[in-house]
Order: sequence, then C-alpha cells, then structure tokens
Amino acid sequence: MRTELPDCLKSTTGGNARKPALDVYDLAVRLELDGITDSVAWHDYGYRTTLLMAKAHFHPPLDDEWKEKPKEKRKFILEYLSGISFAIPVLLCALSTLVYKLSLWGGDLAYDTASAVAIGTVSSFIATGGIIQASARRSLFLIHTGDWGAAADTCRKWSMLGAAVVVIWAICGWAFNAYFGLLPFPLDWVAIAFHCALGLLWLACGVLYVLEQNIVVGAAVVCGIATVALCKLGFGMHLVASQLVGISVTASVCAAVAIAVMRSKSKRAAKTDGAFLNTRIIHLLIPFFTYGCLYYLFLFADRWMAWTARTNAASLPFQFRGDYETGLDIAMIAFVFQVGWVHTSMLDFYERIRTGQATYSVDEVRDFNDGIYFFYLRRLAAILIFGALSGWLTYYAAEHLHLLPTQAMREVTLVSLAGYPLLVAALWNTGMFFALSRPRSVLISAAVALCVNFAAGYLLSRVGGYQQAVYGFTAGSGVFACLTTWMFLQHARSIDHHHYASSA
Amino acid sequence: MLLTSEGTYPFYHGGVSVWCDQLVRHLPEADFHLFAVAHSPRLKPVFQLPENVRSVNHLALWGTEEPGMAGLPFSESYQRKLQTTPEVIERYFIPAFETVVRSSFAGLRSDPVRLAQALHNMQLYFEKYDYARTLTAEQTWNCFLRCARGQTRFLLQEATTCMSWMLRYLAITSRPHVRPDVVHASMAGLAGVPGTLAKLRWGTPFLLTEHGIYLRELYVGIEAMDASANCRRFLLGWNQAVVKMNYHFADVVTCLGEFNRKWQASFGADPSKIRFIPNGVDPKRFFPDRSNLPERPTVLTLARIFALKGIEVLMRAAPIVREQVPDVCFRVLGEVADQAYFERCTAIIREHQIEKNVEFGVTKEPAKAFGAAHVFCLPSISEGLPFTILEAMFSGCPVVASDVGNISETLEGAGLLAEPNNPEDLARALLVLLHGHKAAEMRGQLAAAGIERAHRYYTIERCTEPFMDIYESFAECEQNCQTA
Repeated sequence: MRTELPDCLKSTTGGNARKPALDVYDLAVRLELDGITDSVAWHDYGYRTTLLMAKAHFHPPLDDEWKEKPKEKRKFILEYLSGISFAIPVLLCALSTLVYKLSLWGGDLAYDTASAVAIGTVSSFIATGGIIQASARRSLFLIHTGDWGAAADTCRKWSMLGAAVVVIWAICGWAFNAYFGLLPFPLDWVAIAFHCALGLLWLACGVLYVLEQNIVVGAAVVCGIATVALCKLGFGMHLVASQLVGISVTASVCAAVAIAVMRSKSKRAAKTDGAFLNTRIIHLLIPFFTYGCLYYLFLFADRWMAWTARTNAASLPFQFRGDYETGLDIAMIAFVFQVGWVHTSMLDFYERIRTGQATYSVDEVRDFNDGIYFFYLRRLAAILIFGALSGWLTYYAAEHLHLLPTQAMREVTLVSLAGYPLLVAALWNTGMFFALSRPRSVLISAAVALCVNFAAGYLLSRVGGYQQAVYGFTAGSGVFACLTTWMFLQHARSIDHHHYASSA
Repeated sequence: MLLTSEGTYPFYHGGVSVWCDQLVRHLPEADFHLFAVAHSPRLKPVFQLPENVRSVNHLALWGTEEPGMAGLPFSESYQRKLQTTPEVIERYFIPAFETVVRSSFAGLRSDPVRLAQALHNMQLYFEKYDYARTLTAEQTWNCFLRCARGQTRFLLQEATTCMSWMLRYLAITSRPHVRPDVVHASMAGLAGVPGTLAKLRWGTPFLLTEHGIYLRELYVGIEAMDASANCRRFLLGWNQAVVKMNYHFADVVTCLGEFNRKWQASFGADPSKIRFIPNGVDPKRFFPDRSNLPERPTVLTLARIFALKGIEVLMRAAPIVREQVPDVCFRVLGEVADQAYFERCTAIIREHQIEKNVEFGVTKEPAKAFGAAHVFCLPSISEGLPFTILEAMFSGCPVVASDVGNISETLEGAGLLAEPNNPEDLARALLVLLHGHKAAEMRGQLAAAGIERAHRYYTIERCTEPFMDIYESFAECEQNCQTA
C-alpha cells in the first residue's frame, strides 16, 4: 500500500523541474508511467480509475515555464571574419598581383597574353556562377534536414554537372573562336586552359563554402600562389604555365578536402534516394541559378566594356586594361572589409526576428514589423556610412603609397569605391530575400542593374575614355541597391508573414 | 485495400510494421495499395513487398523544400501555381482552413463532422490548386493569426511554429488516392485521414486498427518536446481533433486489449464499434529450443533503442541484479533509433561499471536469441501488445515486463510484471527468476504457462483471419446496400 503521492503529482505542486500537465489525460498518462494502474489507483488511493485520480488532481497550468534554450553568445569578430572570408581568395590574388606582380591568374604579362588569361578567368566565373549557387542552395537544404548522405550525393552530382558545363563551354568557346578568329593560337588555348582550371577551382571552392571550410579555401589559395612563385622564380617556368600549375594545385587541395569532409560527414548517414534533378527541383533552383549567372555578368560587365572600347590600334578586338584592373583591385580591398558586414547584418537581422517573435504576441504584429523595419533602415545607413569611410581611407592610403600613377587608374579607383558600398547594400538585401525565399525581387533588380551597367558603361566608354566604363558599374550598383531596398521595405511591412513562409 | 500507416510500414522496422507485413502476406487474396506517411522523401522500403502489394504511395512530412504533392508533371504543377491567386485562396480555401485551425484549438471539444467536411473541401481544392502557394499565402497566415488571437497570449514565435506544422500536416489532403474497396488505417492519427476522406467522398468502408494508442503515445512524448505550452497544446489539439474525427468515421475500430479499449473510449471512440483482435506470431518460426542456453545467466531484451522502450530503466536495474548475480549478462538487441538516448544508457553503464554485464547488438535471428536467454525482459514505459513478448512466450522464454498497455492481460500469470519506470521493482522481478534455489523451477513454470497461453490465443491465424472477416462483412454490406 502506497502512502506517498506519485512523482508526477508532486511536480504539479512544485519541487521538481517537470513541465505542468497540459490536461487531465496528460496527467493520467503520467500517473500510468509512474506505475498507477487502475487497480493501484483504487487500492492505494481510493479512485476507481487512473483517469478519475487524474481528474481529482489536475489543475490547469497558470503560467508557461518554457524558456527557449539560451543561444551561444555571438562573437562579432568571428562573424565579421567569416563574412569577409568569402572574398579572401580574390583579395589575396589582388594583393599578390599588386605587390609581387604574380598571382594565380594575374601578373606581369604581355597585353595579348593578359587578355587571353582575362577572357578565361571571366568565362570561368560566368560558366560556374549559376551552378555553384544552385548546388549550394540544394546541398545546404539537405544538410539542414540532417541528410548528409543525400547532401554528399547532391554535391558530387552537381560538381560533375559543373565540370561538364565547364568543358562544354570551353568546346563551344573554342569553336566560336575558330570560326570568328578572335584569339590566335596559342592564346586561344591559354584562355581555354585558364577557363577550365579556374572553373574546376570555383566548383571545389563552392563545396567547401557549403561545408563552412572557408579557411581551407584561403589556405589553398596561399599554397597556389606559393606554387606559382616556386615554378616561376625557382624553376624559371613561364608565368602562364606556373599559374596553371598553381591553379591545379589549389583546385586539387580544395577538391581533396571537400571529398574528405563530405565522406566523414556522410559516413554514418543512412543510404537514401537523393533526388538530383526533377522538374520540381529545377523549378525551385532556377532563381538561384539565374542569380549566380546575373551576378557574375554584372561584376564583369564594366570590364568587358573597358576591354572592348577603343581597341583600333590593338592586335585583338579586345584588350586587357592593366590600369583599369589595378584600380578595381585597389577598390576591392575596401570592398572586402565592407562585405564582412553582410554576414553579421544577416545574423543580426535573424536575431532581431527571433527575439521579436519571442516578445510580441499575435495581437502586436504591427509593432513587431515596425521594429524590423527601423532596424533595417538603421543598419542600411550604417553599411553606407562605413562603406564611404572605408572607401575614403583606401583611396587616401593608395594615393599616399603612390599606387595610382595614372589619371585613369585614379578615376577607376575613385568611382568603383563609390560603387562598392552600394553593391554591399544590394548584397545584404539579396541575402535577406534569399533567406526569406523571395528570390524574384532579387532577380528583377539584378537584371535591371545589369542592363544599366552595360548601357551606361558602353555609352561612357565610347564617348569618353575606356576607364569610364566603371561608371556603369557604379550606376548599376546604385540601381541594384535602390531597387532591392525599395522592395525590401515593402516586404518589411509584413515580415511576420514572409518569415513564416520562408519556413516552407 | 488501401492500407495506411505513419512512420512504420514499409519504411521503418517495429511492431506495427511487422503486423502490416503479416497482414498483407497472410491475405494473398486481397490486393493492397500502401499509403505511408514518413519523415523523409528519400527513404527506401525495409521490407520485401509481396506481389499483392500493388502500389506504394509515400507522403514525406519533412525533408522536402516544398510541401505538398510531388510527382505532378511540371506543366501541370506550374499551371496550378498560376491558378492559385489570392482571390481563389480567400474564397475557396480560407473557410475550410479556419475550421481546421479552430478545431485544432478546440482539440477533443471539436466537431468531427465539421472538421472532416473541411478536410474534404481542402482535398477537392488541392485537386486544382497549388498546395505550397496556398499554405504560404498571406491570407492563410492572417487567418491563423485571427484564430490564435482568441487564445491565451499567443506569441508570434508560437504562431510561426504551429503554422509550420500545419503546413506539413495538411499535405495529407493534397494527395489523391485510388478509390479503394476498403481503407484500413494502422493508426488513428494522420494515417486515418485518408479513411475519413474516402468515407465522406465515396462512402468507402473504413477500418481503424490501433496497436499503441496514438494520442496516449503523443502524451508520453510531448512533455520532452522542446516547445512552449501553447505549441504543445496546439499540436495535441490538432491530433486530438484528427483522432476523434477518425474514430467517428471508422466503421470498426480494433484494439489489442482492454487497456487500449478504455483509452480509445476516453478519446471519443464509440465503444460499440471497438473489437479486440490480438497480435499473432508464427509458431513455426518461434518454438521452444533451449539447446543453446548458456551457463551464464542471460537476460535478453529485443527492442529498438529509444525512450519508450525503457532501456535506461533496465540499465539502472542491472547493477542491482548484479549485486546478487555477479555474472549476469544483459543482452540488448535492436537498432539504435535515438543516438542521444543510447548515449545516456551507455553513460549509466560506465557510471555503475557494468560494462562486462551488458552487451548491445542487433540480430536477424530473434528465435535463436530467445533460445539463448534465461529470461526475456521488456522494460517499456508504453506499449500496445508487443510482438517480442508473444515471441518469447512461443519460444518458452520466461518473461519479465513492465506493467504497461495490454501486457498484463496478455501474460495473465505467464510472466512477471514490474512497475514501469521503476528500476528497483524491475530488478526485484528479475531476481525472482535469476537468483535463489527456486529460480530455475519458477522459470520452467512460467515458460510452460507462456507456451500454453500463446498457442491458445496468439497464433498468426487468430490475428489475420478476423480482419479478412471484417473485409468480407464490408463487402457483403456494400452488396446489400447496392441491392437495396
């Protein structure tokens, strides 16, 4: 014969950490789990059944004791470094070119050779940009669901598809060149070699970014640059050959680490049927693929205008402009520091949503949305002010170090420094639209911005000097930022709904 | 037959899956179409399906980027998206959705007929319009907020969580089904919804079989859920409303014993509809063979490793038993279904330094495992009528089990019972059969009683034939209706 109350009844009167029972049935089940069967309830406690005993003891809970698990304390510096880590490889290459006159794909080359390398580099970005975006989206989704087996399978298949696209693109480019005779031998093969090697490198880097192995990418690029230096300075190889060896080493390191990490993560995963491509997946991924293509077209549109402007005296129909590229490289230093804000701002945005949702009730939706709206405006202003300041500092430092010897270089640096903060603002908006599963707004904005970039760059580079193509970049960035900001402000008025819808 | 399941056959192992497999294999004269609600779209069947299984339709609740029906041709899917305008959603979907949400807040107080009608209307709606676009529309979200405003301070976070659940669960109404002669649901929750919908649409007979009690098991798990009381209450309410609706529309509800019947009646099942049909085991597979019995006293547990199976309780009982029987061996055979739980169990083993007394593993030959054990122990904290207990009885292996579900009715003296969640009581029962000069005699008596009782009540024919009778009675009834 029991005399003490069962544990679950003690908990409702305080004393231990169990959650209060939600209703009578909940309490009855808890009683059963404490060993109070009908016969025990009758013989030991005088209730005909367990359910009647629960009815006699149940009190509706007064307050919800549940608290969300405390989140890990955020570390601003780490978040910021993580944000800039995406741009580190490009920054390392730019710095290496500026300081040592050699890098993975830039350096002290004859104009014709540099043009071929530039063509290969740009085409590698454009050929793989869309595929990397789509692959990352799909793989991150599968990783988020915990299905590492399917994620690894997806990464592998998308990488193969990407490699196939790189090769097909190269064959098409070769055929096009053979017909129109734009690049003479051996420059056509130089362009194709850089296109293929860099294309494979970007694909491997894409997988590493999905796996959050950004630091490996940076380390691999340093290894690659060191290899180029060794081949060029140590073995006396031609810079182009050295760079191809360096890129191959970097791509191999990235691919090997990506495969190793994926294998270790998916080792214990169940074997599943990871759908690769079906109509539904294609429909879901098309916006991300399109964005990847549009973004890289946008980034290189002004260069294309500059390379093709006033080429009458050149041996090729396009000509790589070293001072234009150097101006952009200097401005990129500021861009890398600005772009770190995108990642931290995204995390801040989600933190705001999380805390706001845990504070406001369904009767206070407007207050919640207003809070997000004003947070967004404040952060946008901060990004632009920081962009302006870091741009001014970069320009001041470049002038001070005599890195801008020509007027054209000065103009390109100054104008692109004005454009980069706008691009960063647009990228922040893009990140939020993607996080809210609203890619349509981004695609419209990016397409319009690309058209403005092309049109303004073309007109100005033909009317003025080739360096004025950079105004196209800045005007395009401005349009990109304005359109995405305007659209986001519209979404921010019902952010409660968009946040829910993004969970679909 | 349309045989429906949730989280079980044919993608997962476990008691309900074994029962489903027995049913389709032992009724070769019936054609079965399977409809399985599962957690991922990328699962492969773990059972070899017999020839009379004509199709497997699979609804993945989670793990899809876009919930709702998959497999439509792209052109049709895209056409549906274009057709799904805010006006259409407001006019044709929102009234049904509002009823569903209000029913979920009402729980067991909901009106099953209104809920069924609303789900039926949704099913008709999704034959023409896009699921994901509808459920993520602003009108749908605002409708949910409107309904939530009547509740105790409902936070936006809670609304988002609950709506995300609805987004997944209501996908059950987006699936078209073949028109079956009978719908047989193996659970009372989501798996029962196709039965109710077929009943409303075509008047199809609907048979509902429960092994564990769906709602009761939800109560067992819901306390451990990392969610607020409002969210837990909403999830419970949605399931209560669905279960009540399925009980209401089922022509026959079967259960495994008196314990289950009591709970089913509490949750709204009409007692006159409830029939007992026990689980059954094939005596040709499980028979007494003690030739491999080891000298070392061995306690066998055959169960997947997760919280409901009470393995943690067994691990806490093990050191108490070891004090009296130092060389005792606890052999736990089953897949690890919950890694964190398994790690908790191994931590207890390390804490009590009983590594030499506990073995974990899996087996494909359970009959041999029973033959190599002195005692079979099932320390579950919730059960229906576990197959493993019946198999142990057929194998002549004496049983010690926690007194949950229908186990006491099943054993009726042919085994020992312990209080659930009570390691001391479990150890006490185990020691009766492992320690002392009368232990061997006691084991022999229980084994003999178990064999006798199993052959009398729990053969596979006793399990499957009543279902065929019910199917035939449905067919006769339909014929009579048509004649009339």
